[in-house]
Amino acid sequence: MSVLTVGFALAMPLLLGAAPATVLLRRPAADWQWPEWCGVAWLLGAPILGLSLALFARVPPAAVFTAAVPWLVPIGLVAWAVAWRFTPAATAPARAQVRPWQRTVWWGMALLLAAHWLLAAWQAWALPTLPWDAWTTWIGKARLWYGAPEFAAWLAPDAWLAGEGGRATLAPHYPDTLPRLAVWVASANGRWDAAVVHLWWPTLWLALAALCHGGLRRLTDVPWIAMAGTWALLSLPLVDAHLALAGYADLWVAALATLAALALMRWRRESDWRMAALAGLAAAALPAIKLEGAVWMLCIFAAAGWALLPPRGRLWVPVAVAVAFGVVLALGGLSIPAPGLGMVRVRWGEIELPGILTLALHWRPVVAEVAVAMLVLPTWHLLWWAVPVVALLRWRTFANDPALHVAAALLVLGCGFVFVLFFLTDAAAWAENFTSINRILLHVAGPAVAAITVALAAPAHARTPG
Amino acid sequence: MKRLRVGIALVLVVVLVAAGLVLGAAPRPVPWRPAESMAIAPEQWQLHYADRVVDEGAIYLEGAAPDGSSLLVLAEPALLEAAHWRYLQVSFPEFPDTLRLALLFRRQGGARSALVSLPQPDADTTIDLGRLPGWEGRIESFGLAVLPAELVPGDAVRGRRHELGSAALHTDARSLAVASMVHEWCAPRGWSGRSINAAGRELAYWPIQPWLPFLVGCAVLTWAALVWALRWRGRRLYGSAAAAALALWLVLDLIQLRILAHRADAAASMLAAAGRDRIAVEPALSAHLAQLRQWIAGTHPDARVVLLAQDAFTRSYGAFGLMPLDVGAPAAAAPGALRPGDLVVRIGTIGELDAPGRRFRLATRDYRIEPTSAPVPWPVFVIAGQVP
Repeated sequence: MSVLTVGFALAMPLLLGAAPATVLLRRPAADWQWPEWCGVAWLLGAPILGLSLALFARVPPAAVFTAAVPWLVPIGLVAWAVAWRFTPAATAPARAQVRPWQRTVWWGMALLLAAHWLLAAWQAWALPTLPWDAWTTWIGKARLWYGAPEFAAWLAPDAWLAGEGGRATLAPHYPDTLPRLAVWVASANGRWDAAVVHLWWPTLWLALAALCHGGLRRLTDVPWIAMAGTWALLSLPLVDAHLALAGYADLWVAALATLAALALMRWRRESDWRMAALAGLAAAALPAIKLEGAVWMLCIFAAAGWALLPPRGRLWVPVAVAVAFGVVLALGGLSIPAPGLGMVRVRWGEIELPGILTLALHWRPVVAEVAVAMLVLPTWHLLWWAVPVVALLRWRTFANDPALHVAAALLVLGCGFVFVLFFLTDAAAWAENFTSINRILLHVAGPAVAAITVALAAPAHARTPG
Repeated sequence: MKRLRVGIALVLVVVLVAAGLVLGAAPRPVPWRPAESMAIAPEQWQLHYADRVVDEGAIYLEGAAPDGSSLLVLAEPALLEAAHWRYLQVSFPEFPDTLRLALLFRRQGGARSALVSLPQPDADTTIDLGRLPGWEGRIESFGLAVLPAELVPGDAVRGRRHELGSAALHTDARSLAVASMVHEWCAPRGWSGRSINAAGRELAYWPIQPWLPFLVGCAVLTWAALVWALRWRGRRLYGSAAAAALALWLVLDLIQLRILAHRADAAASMLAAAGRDRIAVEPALSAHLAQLRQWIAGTHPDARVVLLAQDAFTRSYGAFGLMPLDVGAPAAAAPGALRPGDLVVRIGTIGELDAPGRRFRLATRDYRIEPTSAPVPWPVFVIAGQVP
């Protein structure tokens, strides 16, 4: 293994995301903005890298690193240089007044986070690929590709057995961005090594921590509260599990959803088009990671659209849309284009995902199981206790702060998705056995933490503007 | 006056929390007398697949079975009344991370023994037997199984020596109920197949205890008492609520970090004991798959490998273990789907293989096959053609 080439491969998203991050965040003007800039650049760059590698489909996967570097590095460098040259530096923020106890709390939480990362990242390195979907989908596809002469097409096992060529996988319809990233780093390593492939997840965690802290600090202006929010998100036991047992796509979806939520909130607070564009980019990348990402993307765009409505319309438009939707369903249903899923056909009592599955819609009594998953099991610490309590205690803040309007809309839409999926479809079985319910909730955990952190910090924000 | 109110509030909190803990741990009538106990000293265990070694006054167990397991059975077992013996306390000092302990018992008249994984034992691990499915009637066989930890191949821990522990059975008592509940909340436990979904809690045998709501209740109670005692209003009211939530979050996080540290320790022990290439979800299966992969790569490098197995786990994990070969593991094959030259790996009893191993019947079709000498315990054969 070459430490240098693997390190370079893992840092490549930083280079590819540097230009959009520079344009959208501007050049960092304070020390603490650099980690945020790096986090955002890396997280935008990762899907860009994964999608770019599709252009090298005829290259032997084991050689994709050496084939792609001569193209990607100059493009990334030139784009970054141009963006850096023509983008002004961000306005330097007023230096926050930090009391000694706040500094202590900040460092205490940073140390706790460091402990989480070290303990879990070490396990990502040391353990084999453990989780099921990683074998069948995310790492499995990469493993097959890496040993193949070319990036073969994917087929369901039945079609593969029927002799249609390609390689067999249980999830041929799932996006290939993560498998391509896995092939990329294995190619940089020179041989397949699961430990090296798993390194994407600790790196992703670092990017998420950096962008979360930076985004919350911009939204709250209080360093220790920003760190508290970051700690709240990244100390969740399920986040530890997804880092240590590397191989699932859910932490990636959660990170992009968090980035989109923070950008949406800043967009509404600061009326800065760059933040809307950043949210749009992060949302658009979601379907490239996982199919469920398409639903989150629609939720993010819908929340943004709702936030643009005049105050009176924010009540009536959703009601009118819901009524119209009901009428259309009663009249025979409609088809909705969803990236990655095709035309999703919605009929009364049924949702059809073409070529994937048809979901029969009717009530499933899984209230107790969902409540246990969210409020009793040691998976979420206090997150799902805190969200409704903070929303109740801070309802005035939620009502007055445009950043929290859009965050609340996103959470309501996300909860609506969770409700439909687990209470109205056969996915209820995954709530009963506490499986997918938690992973879907992980996607929305970042936006939830961002919302309650900003809501709790509101008085402090009022005291120390800038 | 202020000090008096704070004192009253804190006393009230302590009393209510203690009462909640005691009642929550055993919400049933429990006699107010000390528990009756039956101690099982290290020398009382009857060992199977293991040797007893006495060294400098301490008694050690040295595993001898090829799969790394050993059994500790209660010698001369009297019939145990399950309803009478409610709690088990186990003490295995410095139990290695590469091993795990399981409770083994069989009911009188029961068809088979139950095997229940226990949390990693440390000093005085307390288990509530009454919550285990099957702990009822009369128990005719009772013991502990020492097994390789999840992910660890048996031969890597074979012969491993560790101090032989003791155990004790107890009748119902509130103090033991509290001890078992606290242990269940905080005991280190390894990763399981469910961890990616539910952060490591194995729910198959251990019904959910509402421990998080209990802790939230304690925090709310303490906060409310302090609000009353110190007459907090306005910003202090909100600030103290946030501080209480943060403090409880911190407590939960420290518990989580302890578990995570244990898991990291265990991973390090596994690496040291077995090496990176040998720790696996199913070490025995994984080792066979690795051998088979190498064999196929050497003998049939271009073959299409069809893995046939009944259960989804074996299909998924088996196919992963054979990658990067051109492998597929269909849940059901259409009639005539297998082609000449296909290499079939049959794990389990899917399809029908005739006795001499010359014909294979799958999905109403018969195939002529050529057996191979693949170095695995499952039939591996090449499809030669269909039987008309």
